[in-house]
Amino acid sequence: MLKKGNTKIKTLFYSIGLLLLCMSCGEVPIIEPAQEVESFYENFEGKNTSQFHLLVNDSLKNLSYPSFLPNNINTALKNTLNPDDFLNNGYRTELAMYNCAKYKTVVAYSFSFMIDSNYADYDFNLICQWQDLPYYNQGEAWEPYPPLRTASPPLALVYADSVLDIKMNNDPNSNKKTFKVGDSYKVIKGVWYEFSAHVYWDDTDEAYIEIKINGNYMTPFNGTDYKFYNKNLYNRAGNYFKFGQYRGKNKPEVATVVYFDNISIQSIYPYVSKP
Amino acid sequence: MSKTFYFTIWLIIANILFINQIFANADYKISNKTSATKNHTIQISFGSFRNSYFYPMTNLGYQYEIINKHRFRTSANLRSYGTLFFFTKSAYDISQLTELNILHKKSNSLGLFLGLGIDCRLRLVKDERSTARSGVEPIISIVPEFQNEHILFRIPFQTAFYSNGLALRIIPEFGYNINKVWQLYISYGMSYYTIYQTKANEWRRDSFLGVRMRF
Repeated sequence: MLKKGNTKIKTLFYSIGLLLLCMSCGEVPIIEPAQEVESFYENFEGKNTSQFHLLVNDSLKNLSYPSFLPNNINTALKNTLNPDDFLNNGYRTELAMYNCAKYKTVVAYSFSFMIDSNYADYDFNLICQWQDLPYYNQGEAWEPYPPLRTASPPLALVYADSVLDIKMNNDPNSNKKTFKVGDSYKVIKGVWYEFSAHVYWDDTDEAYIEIKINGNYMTPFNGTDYKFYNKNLYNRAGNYFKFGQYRGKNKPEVATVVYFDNISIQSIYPYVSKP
Repeated sequence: MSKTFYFTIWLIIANILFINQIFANADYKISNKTSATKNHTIQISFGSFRNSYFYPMTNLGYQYEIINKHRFRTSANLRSYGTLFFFTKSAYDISQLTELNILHKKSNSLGLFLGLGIDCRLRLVKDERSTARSGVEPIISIVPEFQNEHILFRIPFQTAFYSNGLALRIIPEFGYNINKVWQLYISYGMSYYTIYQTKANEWRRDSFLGVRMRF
């Protein structure tokens, strides 16, 4: 009786297993490399920001489109950060583009910017940044509780005291371990500059950045070219791009203004691994 | 999501009821000779140090030894992401596993469990940047296990089958018995995911610290 019962159990056990095998309905929860990145361009001639995801308190107060500016530029975006613009855990007026910094893609970013001639220098201000994302496929989200992840972005362009710096961060657990890449670039207020970045996004040290201001490389010469190799994704969910002003938790003393124009994001080509 | 959720709940309940019914009948047939007992275990664990950063996760599990002597056991586990307090609005994994010890006649301290089960991923975040999808997958597991009065050491090997690939998991676990009721344990899970067609693959690692109560 015992032997017969056990045989029946085993038969049913394996039958259930076979049945279960036929029921897979989910996809593997990882990110495929080299997915398509859509190209994008905005010159603000239409005086709107509908293509962006706005991280601003009040778009009427924070964003405007002056039609007369120095140096014969017709229309640009005037980005104003006021002392009370605290949003999403920091003082910011930022415009974001999603899905433009995907795992194992090469993307070119460029824009024009001008620090307002009346800009009062104090503390840092992120002019643009590529912020990491939670690994959604692996169950992560923005709002863990208790909130333990408050890391600096993997890559940012930081303005402070009339100087621009490229800052990177390798530690997803820290906002105090950023490091400078290349030399600082002196900026004159009231003058337009052309920023361009050529980036290969990866979570290994095969990743690189190559950054120029007005045609001059900010990234250091490595003996072959100006690519600076360092991982720039905390995970394979990718990053997203933001520009505007971000001062962290440092409350601005006065309103500050930065102008932007000709925002461009161009997919270069899907990455091909080194032979 | 709701379709996946209800389908999974139905599968898990059906699986538990079905298998319990089979084993309960077997128990009845065997009971004249063995006087089998039933054991319950509740476990909670907290983590996790993921690949390169800390991300809070919790596990709440229940295990039921259907026929102690013959070592059939079934378990259910709820994993909550982004919280140390079990409730989240972002993501859950619900899994259920039924296991059979094929070494039960040879050793009291060594076991080799073959298991079948279901893994359900619920991804609740609505964000344009997310590509996460809910899903249900079958799991097959093999668990070499050693335990004595003081310690438990087990290395579950699991395979989860997806519609476009599979996952291989190795989850070594070490437990220390404080007394007959309470056990402290740590586990370190390594998962290898691969997609058949594009050969895309990735390793993930998670660590947990937990406690078990047996009654």
